[in-house]
Amino acid sequence: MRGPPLGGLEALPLPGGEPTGLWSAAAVLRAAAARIGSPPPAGGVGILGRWSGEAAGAAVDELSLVAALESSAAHRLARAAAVLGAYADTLDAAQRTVATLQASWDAALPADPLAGLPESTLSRVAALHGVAAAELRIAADVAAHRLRALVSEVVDVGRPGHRGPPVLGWSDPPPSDAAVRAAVLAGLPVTSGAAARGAAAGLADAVVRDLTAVAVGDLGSVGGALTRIGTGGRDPLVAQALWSRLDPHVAGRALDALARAGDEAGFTGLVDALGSALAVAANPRYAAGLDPASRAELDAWREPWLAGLAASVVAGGVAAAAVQAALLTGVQRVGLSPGSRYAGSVGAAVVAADRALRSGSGSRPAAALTGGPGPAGDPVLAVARAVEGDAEAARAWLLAPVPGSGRQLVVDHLVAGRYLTLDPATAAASFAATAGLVVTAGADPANRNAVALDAALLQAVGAEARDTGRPDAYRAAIGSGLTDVAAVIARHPDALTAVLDDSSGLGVDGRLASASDRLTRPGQETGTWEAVLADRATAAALLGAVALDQPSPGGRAPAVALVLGSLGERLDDDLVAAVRADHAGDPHALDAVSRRLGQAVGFTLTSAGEGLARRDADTDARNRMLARLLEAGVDKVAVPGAAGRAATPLVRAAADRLVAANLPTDAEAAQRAATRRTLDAASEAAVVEVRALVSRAQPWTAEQSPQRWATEHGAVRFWDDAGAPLSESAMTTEQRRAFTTWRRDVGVSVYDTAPAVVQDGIDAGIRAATRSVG
Amino acid sequence: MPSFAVRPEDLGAAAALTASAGPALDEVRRLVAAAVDLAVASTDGALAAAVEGYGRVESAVAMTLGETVSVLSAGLGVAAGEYASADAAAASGFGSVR
Repeated sequence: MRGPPLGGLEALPLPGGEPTGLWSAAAVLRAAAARIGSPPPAGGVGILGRWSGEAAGAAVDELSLVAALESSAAHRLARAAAVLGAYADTLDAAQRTVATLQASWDAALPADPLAGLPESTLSRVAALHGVAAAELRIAADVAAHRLRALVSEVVDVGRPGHRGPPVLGWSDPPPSDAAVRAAVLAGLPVTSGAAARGAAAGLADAVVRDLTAVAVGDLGSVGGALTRIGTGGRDPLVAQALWSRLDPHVAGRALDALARAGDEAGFTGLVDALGSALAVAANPRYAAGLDPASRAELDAWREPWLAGLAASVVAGGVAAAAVQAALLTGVQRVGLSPGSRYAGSVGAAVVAADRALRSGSGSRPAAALTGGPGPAGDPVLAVARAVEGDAEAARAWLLAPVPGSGRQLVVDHLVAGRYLTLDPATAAASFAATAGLVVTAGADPANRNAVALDAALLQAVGAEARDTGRPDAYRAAIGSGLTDVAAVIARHPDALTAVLDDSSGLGVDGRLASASDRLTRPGQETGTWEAVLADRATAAALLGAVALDQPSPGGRAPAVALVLGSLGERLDDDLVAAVRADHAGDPHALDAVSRRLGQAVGFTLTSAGEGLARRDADTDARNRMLARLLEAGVDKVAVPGAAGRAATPLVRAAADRLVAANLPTDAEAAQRAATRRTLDAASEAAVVEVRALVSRAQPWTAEQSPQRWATEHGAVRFWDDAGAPLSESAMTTEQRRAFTTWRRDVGVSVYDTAPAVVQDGIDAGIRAATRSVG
Repeated sequence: MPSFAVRPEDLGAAAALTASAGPALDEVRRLVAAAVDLAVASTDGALAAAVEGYGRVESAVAMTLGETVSVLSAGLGVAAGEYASADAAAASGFGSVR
């Protein structure tokens, strides 16, 4: 017997695989591609209902994108079919080639088993078989590569940070289902949002189960709840899912159970987690990053939820308010804001519940959560603190009507009614918090609500100071907030001057006016608003209340000085404008402004003095204050700031004249003498100041200018870089003489008439103010 | 009588047509699975592994697209229902009446 061929092959192996099966697979893939068919009919369809607006547009875009993704999938399926079909063809050809080679092999073998083998022929056939097998392996590799490339079209393996080639390698596992899903959804925000909402719903269901268990005494379940929520409370979808399922009463009972058991960590953790979720669900600002459909759904849900929450707080009384207060401490602690919608609804409801309790129509339940008396357990203060970093929310809260109170605003109740039923410490904290909120929330003259809030505070303080039946309690309550009240008045000098003008008050339709119409009017500058004080009596009482702020000598300026400083700044500017008008031919402008100056300052000081007189039930108290203002002069009416420095001489002049007019006739001789001396000095300072204001107005022609006059007369320079004469207090003797000579030479008579008119105006204004206050 | 930007019945039709893509995608997944079974049984080695991997990915794509279609068609359906049931006054509040 002969041995095997030298190549070792007994026969040629047939390449493995079933072309028929591969062709069938390719056909099935082509059927799958065809099954996808036409894309969904999304184009041009408007989606309404809950998806109206931006969400509808996003959904339509997403439908188009889904259609494109389906087309891509169909295209990939067709190409995969082509890959398999091509390989099946190659396999089939290879198998046929091998069969032919096998036949040649068999034919070359001698029939005689003892005959020698045709080694060269067999070797050539074996070589051809090797080539066919190698080509088939290459074809298989190419097919595999192309299929992996199709996978890479779905999941981008060439993304930044990926190491290696952009197509999956031989040993790379295919992407997981989760990776594929994430890759597909990455471009589909509406669907991703829907998926996220589904996940959030599942999480919220579990958390609510945990909290329900805590509420009935299974305190250990709080750990599960906190673990599940994690930082999810800051996710608007989780927050919405949670608060759409969680009854606030259940939350309250859970918190109460933890508080009673002394589980401080659990209590604080839950307050922070639920508070975060409360703020994020309630405040539209935190939904900014959501897909349009999720945002639309959240928006549609938020208002009814807040309305229901507010109603439950009103119905649930102080217990329900205490739950909100507890949650708001968490909101404040984590640095969030519940936003204006919550503040104007639920926040106002907390005030209503508090009001009902304090009026005797509510009752304080024996729950650990509600706390005891004092600022720490005050739900209204909790609201104030939660919104103190959010001006819009603070305005919405303070200007919201108190539910069940008619037209009373929250700010009215906080300023004018609440102190009557509070202990002194809580009353003071409540008023200070309210005034502080207004200071930070009402500063924008272009925002009508901001100005209305300022006016509402001032109106409420003035009205209560005027009408309260318990003046001592009110003075104690407002003491620590008076500088804030003065700061608010100082923002509105025109409100003080306007209240002295009867025509600026409400008309016959005043009772029908809205809060905004009642509290604001257009400001002097276009697009701005000015506060409105109701009447002189209220304004006088307000200023009288401000006068109660009397810091120790050498300390900060008294609150009334802030008011005077603001008046001085405004009237300074008005005087300059009046001098210009006088120069332009309006002979009454200067007179009118001068009277306004005197009247406003006189009114302010007279009202302040009356406030002190009422406090001490002693008109001498008023006189003493006025005398002190004069004797200490600059110290007591020192006006802070650069504007104040400019205004001080004028304001002081008015104050001096007021004091002189009001000093008691039986005042001691020494005091009267001191008064007169100080008055003379102040009058001279006022004259100088008025001349400086005249210089600021530059009421001269080019021919009359100081520069031209000095050039022609060889005089020293006595003007500044802006061309206005220097302040007289800064002039040298030579400059003063040149200044005086220039005024007389060119005939700028307003330098002489203006101080006199101002002095007369001040006197007339003070007389009018004294009559109106007295 | 307001004229509507799109008729409720058109929305309903759009929802139905969009929803019909869901069963089609389910069918695609079934066909892909069948094709993979056939191909894996007809070859071996790296090519069989590549076919299997590709099939898994394409099935996951079809499943995700099916979910997407379900979400979007449901949205269309809700929109159609709400819009069709709204009277003229309420519909004007949608901001989509012209």
